[in-house]
Amino acid sequence: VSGFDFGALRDPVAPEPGPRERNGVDARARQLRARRLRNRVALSTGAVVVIAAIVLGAVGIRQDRGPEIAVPGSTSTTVTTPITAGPSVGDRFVPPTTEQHGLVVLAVTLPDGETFTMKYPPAMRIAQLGFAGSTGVVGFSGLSSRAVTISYTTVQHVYGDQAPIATYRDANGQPVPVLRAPEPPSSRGRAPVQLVFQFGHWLVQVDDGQEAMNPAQLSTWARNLTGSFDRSGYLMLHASPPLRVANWFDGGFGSLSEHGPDQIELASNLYCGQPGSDTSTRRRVVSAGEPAVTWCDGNLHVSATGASNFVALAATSLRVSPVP
Amino acid sequence: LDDFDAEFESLWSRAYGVAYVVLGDRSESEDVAQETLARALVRWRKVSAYAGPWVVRVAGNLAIDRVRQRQRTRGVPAHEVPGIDAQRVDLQRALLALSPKQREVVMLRYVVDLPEAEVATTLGCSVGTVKTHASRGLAALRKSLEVAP
Repeated sequence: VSGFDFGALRDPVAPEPGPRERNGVDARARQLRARRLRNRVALSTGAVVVIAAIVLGAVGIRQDRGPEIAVPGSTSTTVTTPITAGPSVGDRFVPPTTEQHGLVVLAVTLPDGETFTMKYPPAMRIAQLGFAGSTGVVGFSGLSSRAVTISYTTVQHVYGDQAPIATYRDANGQPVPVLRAPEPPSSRGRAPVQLVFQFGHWLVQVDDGQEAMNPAQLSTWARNLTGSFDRSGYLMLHASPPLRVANWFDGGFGSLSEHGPDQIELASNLYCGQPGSDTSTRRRVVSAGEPAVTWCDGNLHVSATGASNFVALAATSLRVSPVP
Repeated sequence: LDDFDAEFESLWSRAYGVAYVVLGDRSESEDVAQETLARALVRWRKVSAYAGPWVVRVAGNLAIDRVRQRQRTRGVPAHEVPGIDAQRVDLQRALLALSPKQREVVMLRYVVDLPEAEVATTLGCSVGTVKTHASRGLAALRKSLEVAP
């Protein structure tokens, strides 16, 4: 029909995947998970680090049910304020919670401003797992789009005293350095360079990977991406043309790069609403031997994995509802 | 329960098959299959419900990326790349010219060889939409054949 003989283009002796292929996939998956962690703060085994609790006033931490933080002031602040750290675990932000009818109420704000509320039994301790993730920033007019990594740490902590490869200026004239990613060089060569923003205590890293940007493009990125914080302390990204913050987010609570620990993955506008994708029905899954439960709440994909009790509670008691 | 291990072989073969049709290189196709399956494994909780079409989409995109990369790094038009038969080069050129949706339909319909109805179910659109995209995709393929040296 097409003039193409697709059959002739297929491999007549296609290899059967065996243990070698399976091991290769596992190894590559480990690399991909490690990349998520590559800039993350090293933690001593099992240590939970709560960074200085100074957030514009009173910060209270209740060990059993997690921090409850009162943050006075407007819903957002400008990005040029000095770095102040709220509670965190590793390089993840521990947001404030409240309590309602015996359930913990956790407000979540994604970088594009989308908000929702999670309610769960105190035993799940979701807020204390810490929040981080990545989102997309779309470029127009010849500017490439990028996924940006968002974590709760500082340039100094991640890059040490590394001298910038170049420095650009943000909308307020503050420096935005280009730094080499602190990961071991891959087999393909040197570690990628990153344009690095510091918005308060939030670190935003833009990989300048496969299709490297030229200085003019990097300068445009630096100038047009800004951040502010909502009253809970979450980062919201803002972009002015020719950039636009995409509506997708991939991240959540917990160390998503590791197997084993409790974690709640949240993915907005990525994995729901597609043919065959998850629905509001909670579905049990096994991945690499780990039990999990997954479902879609509107366009938000939610999955929980970890200890069996944690997964069971997520399956039965975790409620996610959008905030209009 | 949806277990990655249980679906590994069929998904890997599907990813490899898509990549090979586009690339015609066993080693590169294995690389694409490995990358695709690794990405699926990392996202398994999110994509396991529709892993088949997801794998086709990702493997197809990765294969197209490799074609683009070849063109960039080797600095020669695809049809002059040695060792790839002419028909495959025409296919590569045509796929590069298609919109993502058209490419997806062409991949599922002609590369994976799914019936139109199944492509429609997979993509969540009507059979009519599949026919439209397939028709436009084929037109691009024919055009590519006409301009091929």
